[in-house]
Amino acid sequence: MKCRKCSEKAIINMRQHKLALCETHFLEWVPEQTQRFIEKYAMFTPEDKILVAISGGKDSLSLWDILIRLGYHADGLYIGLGIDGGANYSDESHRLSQKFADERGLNLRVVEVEETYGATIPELAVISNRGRDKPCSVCGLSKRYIMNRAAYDGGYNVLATGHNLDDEAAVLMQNTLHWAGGYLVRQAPVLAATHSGLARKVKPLCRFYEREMAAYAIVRGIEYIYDECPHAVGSTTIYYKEILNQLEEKSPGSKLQFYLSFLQAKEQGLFAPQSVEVELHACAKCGQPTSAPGECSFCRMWEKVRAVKGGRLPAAAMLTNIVEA
Amino acid sequence: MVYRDKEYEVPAGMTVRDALKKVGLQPETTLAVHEGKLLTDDTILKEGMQLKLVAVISGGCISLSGQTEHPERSGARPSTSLRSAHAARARRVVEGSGGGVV
Repeated sequence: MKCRKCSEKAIINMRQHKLALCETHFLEWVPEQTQRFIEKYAMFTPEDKILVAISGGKDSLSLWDILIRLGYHADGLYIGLGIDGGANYSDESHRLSQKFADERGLNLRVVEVEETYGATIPELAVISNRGRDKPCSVCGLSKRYIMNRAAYDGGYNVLATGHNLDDEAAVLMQNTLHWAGGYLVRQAPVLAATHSGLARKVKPLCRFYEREMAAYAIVRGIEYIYDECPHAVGSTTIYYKEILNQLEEKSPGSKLQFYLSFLQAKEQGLFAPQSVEVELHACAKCGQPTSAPGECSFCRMWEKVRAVKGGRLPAAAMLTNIVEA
Repeated sequence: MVYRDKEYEVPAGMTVRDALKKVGLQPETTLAVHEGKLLTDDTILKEGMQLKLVAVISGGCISLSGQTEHPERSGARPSTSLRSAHAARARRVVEGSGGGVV
């Protein structure tokens, strides 16, 4: 198969676009498309200060690479979750993230959950008794809190994550099958900062297939953590991705159409905004925006840890625990 | 072909796409790498070629809208059974394959 642009040997064929590209043109095409999505969804401009959530996986590292190639001011944030899973999962993902940053002279900010708050995420799941001993629930809550707080405290007005189209389509499928209206209304390439303590959240890779991001990482020589989070094995997200890819196999472009049609339907008013806006106020303990009365759910969760382990509370000066490379 | 520490053998002369399907892998979720270079699906495999297969799916547990997935929320574990089916098919193919080795 030949590259559509130069007739050299293609390295990837994107059936949904009827587009095959060689290595050179694929490496040009990905940032060009990313820039197009950034502008189309008004994600950010070169004047914005961006914090990229880095997991050590292909998507987040590729996103960071692309944003730097495009000339944006983007630092990375790695959150050490303390997940071992028999393979030093967190240690290895931290090592690869740090290696990526060091090799490119980039600034990676690191928050180690255990050092900062007093327990690892798996310990937190057990102590807080949330999620039936599975850490995904407390992990999600913790990451959202820490990402937003690190962005706010560090003076970043934009928080970027590496969600790709397969991630978005899988969540969309799950929410549609459950008619989860609240989540459907909020699913978008950009979540605006609706409160002074919240960063704008953006997903610049939301229209790339996961396959394309893996290809980009390989072609760019990005070393990423290949293994799954041990707690994600068997997740429903992966199941929905497999189903969507079966559709894609029979009908190229199905995933893309599913997601883009959803965004278009939202634009056309298919989903009415929620009649009652959630009112946010500052958490009595940490000051972060919360809809809960009194303390936010993150602080309440760590209260339980302190009671059991004598761990530290989330400190107002959390950034003193952030290590800058 | 090597996929997640497992080796598969398929006859030469097949396309990458057909080879992936033959061992029970979805072409949409797998990249084929030969000597460090990506191969398109229509590449015809030659005798003695050794491919590394890269799985592209990852299972994030977080969305920015505040939704967190729980792996066992839905009760059943279809993903595992799908994988088992893939693995079983793959084993059958490997055991039954003959001819050239890729």
